[in-house]
Amino acid sequence: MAITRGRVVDMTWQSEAVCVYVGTSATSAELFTVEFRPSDPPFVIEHKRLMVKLLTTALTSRRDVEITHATQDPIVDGVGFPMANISPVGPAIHNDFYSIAVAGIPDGVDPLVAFFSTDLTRHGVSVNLRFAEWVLIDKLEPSLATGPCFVSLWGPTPGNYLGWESDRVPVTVSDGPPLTVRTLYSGRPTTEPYTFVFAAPPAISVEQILGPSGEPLPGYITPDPVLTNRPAFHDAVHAFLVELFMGVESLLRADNLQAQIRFVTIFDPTQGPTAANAIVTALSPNIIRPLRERLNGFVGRYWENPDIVFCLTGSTVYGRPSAWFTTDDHARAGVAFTYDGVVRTHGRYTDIPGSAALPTYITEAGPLPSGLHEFCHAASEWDNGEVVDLYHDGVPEGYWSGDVFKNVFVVNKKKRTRATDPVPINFATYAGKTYRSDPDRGGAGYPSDWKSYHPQGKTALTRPISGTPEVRRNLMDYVAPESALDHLTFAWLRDRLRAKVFR
Amino acid sequence: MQPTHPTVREELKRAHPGLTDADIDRYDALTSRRVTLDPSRSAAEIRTIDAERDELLRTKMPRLGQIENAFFARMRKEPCGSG
Repeated sequence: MAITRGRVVDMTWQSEAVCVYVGTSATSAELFTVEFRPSDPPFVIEHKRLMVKLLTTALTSRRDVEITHATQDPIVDGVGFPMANISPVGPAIHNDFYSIAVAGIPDGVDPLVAFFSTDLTRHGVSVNLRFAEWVLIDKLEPSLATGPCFVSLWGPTPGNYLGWESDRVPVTVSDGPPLTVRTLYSGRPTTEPYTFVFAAPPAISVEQILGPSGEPLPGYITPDPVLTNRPAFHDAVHAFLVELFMGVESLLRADNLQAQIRFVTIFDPTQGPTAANAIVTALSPNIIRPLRERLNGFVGRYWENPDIVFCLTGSTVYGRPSAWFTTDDHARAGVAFTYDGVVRTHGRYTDIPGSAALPTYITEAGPLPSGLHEFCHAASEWDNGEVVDLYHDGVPEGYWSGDVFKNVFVVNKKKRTRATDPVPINFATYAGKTYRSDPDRGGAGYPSDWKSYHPQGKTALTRPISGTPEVRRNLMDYVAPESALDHLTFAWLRDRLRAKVFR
Repeated sequence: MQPTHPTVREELKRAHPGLTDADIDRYDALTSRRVTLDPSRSAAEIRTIDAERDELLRTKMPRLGQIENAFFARMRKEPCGSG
């Protein structure tokens, strides 16, 4: 047997055979045939029909094929699609995101450029964001020629003038319009991958405003300016991805989680300022909040069922971000865990997605990890563990459900009986491991009237001058580029994410 | 929700004579709690918090939104990292 690899450059039908030309051009192609013989049994006929379908697909999509045939014999025995080491995710459209899944960019390849090539032209576009498994171009530039071409990734390597170049795969560049719903990366190959949606809210519900004398005024629905500024939305998605995955805090890099998450954007400029489209709400004077009860209805219109929704508002009036916890789907399977002797569950599936509302302009600003802080709230759960703010003394205790008081389970904050009591050495036992308390709030100290205390924080790299380890400030207490989660919250969230990501 | 940025704190205190760090801490605590309360579960607590927040805003720092948004807008131009 021999294998010939190349592009299907032409196909013609004869009376009982299909002629297939495989090569680099019509003039240099090699001829193969699929013959339908009267003596062929039905299953052989079906096999040949399937091969012809594959070859036709290869012809129309300009994909390479591998033809299996006997040596010196043009009769096709089998057809395969060789796997390229890159695969574009979605169509190439001017002014839209463009992402490419990639297998193994060698270390040291930097910067990375996407080349769009024809027989006559080669147009390089800088890659704006790079993960091990995929790369993102924030906005495909409109100067890129439309029509069929091939895309490949290229980058120089140290000491190698030619650098590294990926396989070339066929694409067709169009001038728009940008997609309403775009998958940036498909995540884990499963029926329900753990999904982040970055949504542009069509409208803001302003629920509570104060008049000149402090009197409450009626709420209203107003268009969200983000739908008039798609570039800002793209920039914000980029900034968020950097915050979530490339900062000091490694939560989403642990266990290679980032490679398993599916990322989707929703930007629908056709949507008007209706109540159903108001997926964020404003709280006086300047706080933006997701409207969690509307999220499933909104994203469901686009056939999405995410675990986390980031609502990226264009408002410059409501600029302070906030988040809501997830509600797990308690009717479906979960992973049990024990916290201080109580058995609880990390739900594998989501009923109401966790959510965060952030203004595009604050996420552009960086480098504050606002998005990661809000994500940690959003990824926690109403009834099986809330990750709460640590910068104030309040500890959520519970709520009344009819005549029954239901306690809230908080993962990362506890309360002493008296503010003068010493901070306990141990904070909690989670999954069989005891986690210590933070004795001095990451070096900032607890105010003397506080009863609350926190789990012990992580230690940063050794200070360069003193040589002593530096305790990082807790990300849920102090939002700064060098902040990180404490050990307990990190472990708890990591396990929770693993339960969902690997469902 | 994030705490009030230290720079915003200072600007707030300059713009509102008599405003203290304790007032801002209280505002942050109330707001942090407020945004994580489920209206269907905690309507009464939300009303109580809103009343105190509104009173704090009206009497102690009526320009909070304006000052904080201006800070965010400046940060967009000149990113700075703390808070």
